Amino acid sequence: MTMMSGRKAYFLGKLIRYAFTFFLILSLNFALPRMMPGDPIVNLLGEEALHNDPRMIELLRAEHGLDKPLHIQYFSYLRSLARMDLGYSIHKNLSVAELMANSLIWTLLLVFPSVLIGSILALLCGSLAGFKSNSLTDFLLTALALLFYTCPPFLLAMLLLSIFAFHLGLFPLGNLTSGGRDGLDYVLDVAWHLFLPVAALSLLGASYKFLVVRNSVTQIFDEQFIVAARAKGLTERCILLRHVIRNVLPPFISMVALSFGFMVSGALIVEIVFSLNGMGTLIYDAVVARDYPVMQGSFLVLTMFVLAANFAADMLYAVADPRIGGQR
Amino acid sequence: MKRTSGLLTIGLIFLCFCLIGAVWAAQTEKSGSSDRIAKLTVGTINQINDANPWDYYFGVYSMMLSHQGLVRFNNDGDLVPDLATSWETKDLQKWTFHLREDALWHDGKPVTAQDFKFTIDYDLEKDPLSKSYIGTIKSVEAPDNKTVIINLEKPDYNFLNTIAVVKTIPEHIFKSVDDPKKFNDKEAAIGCGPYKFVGFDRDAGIVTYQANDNYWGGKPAIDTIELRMFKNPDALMLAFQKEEIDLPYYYSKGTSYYYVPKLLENDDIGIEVYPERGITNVLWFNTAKAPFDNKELRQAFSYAPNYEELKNMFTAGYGSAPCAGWVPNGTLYYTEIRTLTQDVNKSKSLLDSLGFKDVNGDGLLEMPDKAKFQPKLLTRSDLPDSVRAAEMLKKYFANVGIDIEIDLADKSTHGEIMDEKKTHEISLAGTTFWGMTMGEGYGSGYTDTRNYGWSMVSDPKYQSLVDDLGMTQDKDKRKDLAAEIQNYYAEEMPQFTVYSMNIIQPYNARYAGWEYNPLHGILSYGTLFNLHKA
Amino acid sequence: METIKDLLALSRLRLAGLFILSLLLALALFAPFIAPHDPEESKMPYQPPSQEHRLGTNDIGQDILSELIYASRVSLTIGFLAGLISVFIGATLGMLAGYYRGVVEELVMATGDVVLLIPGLPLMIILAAYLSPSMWNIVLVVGLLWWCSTARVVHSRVLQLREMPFVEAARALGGGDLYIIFHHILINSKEVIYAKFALAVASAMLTEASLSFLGLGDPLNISWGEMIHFAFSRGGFANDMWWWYLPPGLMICASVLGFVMIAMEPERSQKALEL
Repeated sequence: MTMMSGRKAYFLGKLIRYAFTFFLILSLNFALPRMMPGDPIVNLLGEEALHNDPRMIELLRAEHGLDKPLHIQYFSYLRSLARMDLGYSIHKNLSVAELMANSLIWTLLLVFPSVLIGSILALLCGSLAGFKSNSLTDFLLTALALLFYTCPPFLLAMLLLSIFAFHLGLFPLGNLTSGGRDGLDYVLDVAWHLFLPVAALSLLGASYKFLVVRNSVTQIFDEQFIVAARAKGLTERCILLRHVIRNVLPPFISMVALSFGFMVSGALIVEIVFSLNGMGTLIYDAVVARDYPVMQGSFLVLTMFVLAANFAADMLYAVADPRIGGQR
Repeated sequence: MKRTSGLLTIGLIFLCFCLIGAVWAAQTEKSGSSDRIAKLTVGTINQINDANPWDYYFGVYSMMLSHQGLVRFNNDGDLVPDLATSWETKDLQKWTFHLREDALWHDGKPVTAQDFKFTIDYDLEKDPLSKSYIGTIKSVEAPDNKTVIINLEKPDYNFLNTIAVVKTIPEHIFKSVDDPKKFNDKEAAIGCGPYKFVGFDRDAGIVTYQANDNYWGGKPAIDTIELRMFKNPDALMLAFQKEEIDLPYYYSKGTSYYYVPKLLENDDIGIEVYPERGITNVLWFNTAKAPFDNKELRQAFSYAPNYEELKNMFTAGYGSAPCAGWVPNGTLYYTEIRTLTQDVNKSKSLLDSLGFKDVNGDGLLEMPDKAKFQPKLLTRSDLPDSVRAAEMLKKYFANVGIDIEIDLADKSTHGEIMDEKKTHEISLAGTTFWGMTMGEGYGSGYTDTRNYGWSMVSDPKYQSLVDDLGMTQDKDKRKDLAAEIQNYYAEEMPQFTVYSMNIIQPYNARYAGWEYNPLHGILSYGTLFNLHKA
Repeated sequence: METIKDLLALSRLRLAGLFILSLLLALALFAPFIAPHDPEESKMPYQPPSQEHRLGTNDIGQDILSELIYASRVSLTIGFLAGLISVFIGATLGMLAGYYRGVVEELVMATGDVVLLIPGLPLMIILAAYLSPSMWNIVLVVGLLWWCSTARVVHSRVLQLREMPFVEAARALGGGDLYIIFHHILINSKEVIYAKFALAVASAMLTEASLSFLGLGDPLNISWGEMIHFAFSRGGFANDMWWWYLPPGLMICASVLGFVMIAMEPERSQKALEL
């Protein structure tokens, strides 16, 4: 009985905290792009402008709603959010929702497989390394993991591009597809294009998780119940599967859920190196051009994503670990 | 053991999938048997956001391929007929154009003078930006189907330069369109040029054009033009080296010289060097801000840089020696004045005579009133070449005793300061061919405060030269005025050239007939009609 | 009194890490004596490795090896300071939150959540662009955004500690809150804080490298990340000049490795607590 309401209280508390966070981020989201120097209108002028007609600049500003006082802009921002209207890109003349929908799909297509593959790889190799700690296997795996953990992401991406795409010619040099295909052809083509980016992200993501899993596994091995299991006469493999992994799983799952959230922005560098149309490049271009609506919209979406991922992580952790929710 | 072998199998299966996809993807197209070119693949890092003529880069490519104006630039930079076969003006204020009979829109309807009138009125109404270059138009009349009369606010010799970049749009499509920037319909890209827009594959980053069989100038030599967008310039050049694209193309720029050594290894790649009609990097003084309102100080600065070293380092031999007259060689009525050279002693003595002395013995000069002298050099932080150039300039100026503070700003902030706020002291920025023709030409658009005015010149002597250029039709008088303006630059130094690199254009050497145009580069009108297999 | 000796006694891994870091520190401190040339001197650009220039020259003719050695100062400083700021803020807030609980705890944890949830790299791109390219701005940006995980971890540790008998004893003896926090709790959280500090420095160095790669670094204070940025954007990659972009990359790897090794947990579990 107490456990149930304890759990409910836990979830409710988390929900309130997330809601508060969400609102704060909404407001921050609005304020930040406007605090930056540089004028989006100036970016539009380009080389074609002959005169510095201030009237023209004001006209453009009015067209995009930038001439009204800040608090009015803020309220219209909140109101349009309520209507799910994310506004119109000043720079690209497309609705923000349209721009993002397309980019988000590709980013998710890049990120989901990467996190999945990376996590499975990390779980398996990490458990193995922790299991056989201080052996040659452990040493090699740990060394490899450390290599990928310490390598700057752009370096890894560029090297993969150079070696596998250019010198060996096994994969394309960029973009999402080669154009003009459909059906199975199209799916395979996209897979071929995404192979290197996914490989890069998987390896980078796997490295940290590997270390954490390995650490957890070595710790668990010291615990009492493992000794008891051995005393019972269970095989090492059985111990690994049944006891160790099950104990590693809760923090691991929450870590995986968290990384979904962070991956979306972390994939930015990979997207740029491989010329992919994702959220990362969208945000980067928007920042360079001071495109406020796109910046705001993308931040919002990314934040919601991370919030959802965190919430899911907390839920999963609570579900997986029966100890949560009981105590204060 | 089972686990690892399980992993291996999954990995192998996945790899197989990808290799199958690779084979699929690697199927090449059959090439045409005749001399004609079936497909030209152009690679670029210019990003097109949508197939809408108001999208900046889509507009640029439309101008080259699918749309036309009244006149266009030929390969020498002169203005020649496009939709207009002839034109006349007596007072440089009222311009009459006669349109050709046989121009058709891609949907078959004829191009009329009403279309052009509509274009100007529509642009001025829907796009506040357009006032910056066609704001001088007072009214447009279309007395009949093939005559356009444009009345300007005041006489403007340079008007043809301006009207050359106005793309004619079809009235019958756009008259019902309220917001052209959001009109992303396929019909939006209908023009009357030698190529028809076919499609835009956003995910692949490919824009496709097809030759227009009904073009009034005849069918162009290339059947299909495919524009491939890259986000990463290195990936673009790698694709070119692997012959996946026929041409790396940068609007109004050339390829960076450090790609050249690798390209030379491939016999199928040719490289041409064309004269740059803009200037790659210029040092601008804000002549409205003390102490840069003093011409001798500006001259002193101009003697400090080691132009030879800059040329070697930033143009790798593909550049020209900077001239004191500022306007690049190749411009009409270019006058040979003197070349800018480094003269440390002259610089130092000028500074000394102006009262800049090292008062506190730190090796750096102070202002005449003993205050610290640390001018800020506004530099684009997102252009590595500019950043490096600024570092070199800092060294050269330190050599004559001037301590420069490098003030980095990204594209947005830099633009805001140069175009709007005008708070810069000295600044590093380049100019383009079309930019140099702005105003009344000869870079007056960049210099005169009444235009862009990066160097904030409001000197009546200069402004009257510019006005005269606007009003004079007589060729000899224009030649004199041009010489006067260049002498003004050499003497007053409101800005000077730091280095200028010629346009390096690599191309697929298995094709011949490439022609270079100062505005459109190698995707010129001539190339479209003359390209053939070598 | 804990000393370096106790730290060393714990793990070969940590020893190795410290060794790497002391080498790098020496490189940074003694740069003027180790570097063969003045890194600002311009000679022939784009030279491959030779007798005179062991790693060749860059795009404006500067000796790459010398540049690499001097860049250690910038990279290590940025990482170290950013790590220090984030750990200082994080540890302080974490301790206050864990010890005082109640409103303080809720406030700190909620703020931490907010900051943690802001997409890191995009925000840093914005701030770096806002604050204009400068070494100190990168330090600030990274430092201000990384404190959350330290705070969380310290907070958990403090929750554990505050119920322990020796804290009760100290309280009974009349020790004030601040005294208890800084004397007892801090000392016993040291392990955790050291580990987080090392990881913070490692993250900061990687972040700075990424920001530099995107062109948001400080080109007037060349770090390893900036070296790679110029190598890529000035034709180093296109011409396979691995001697230009790989060495700084490897140096980043080595530094990060050093810090991570220090932070790695030993095979043994908790040490005995001390008083």
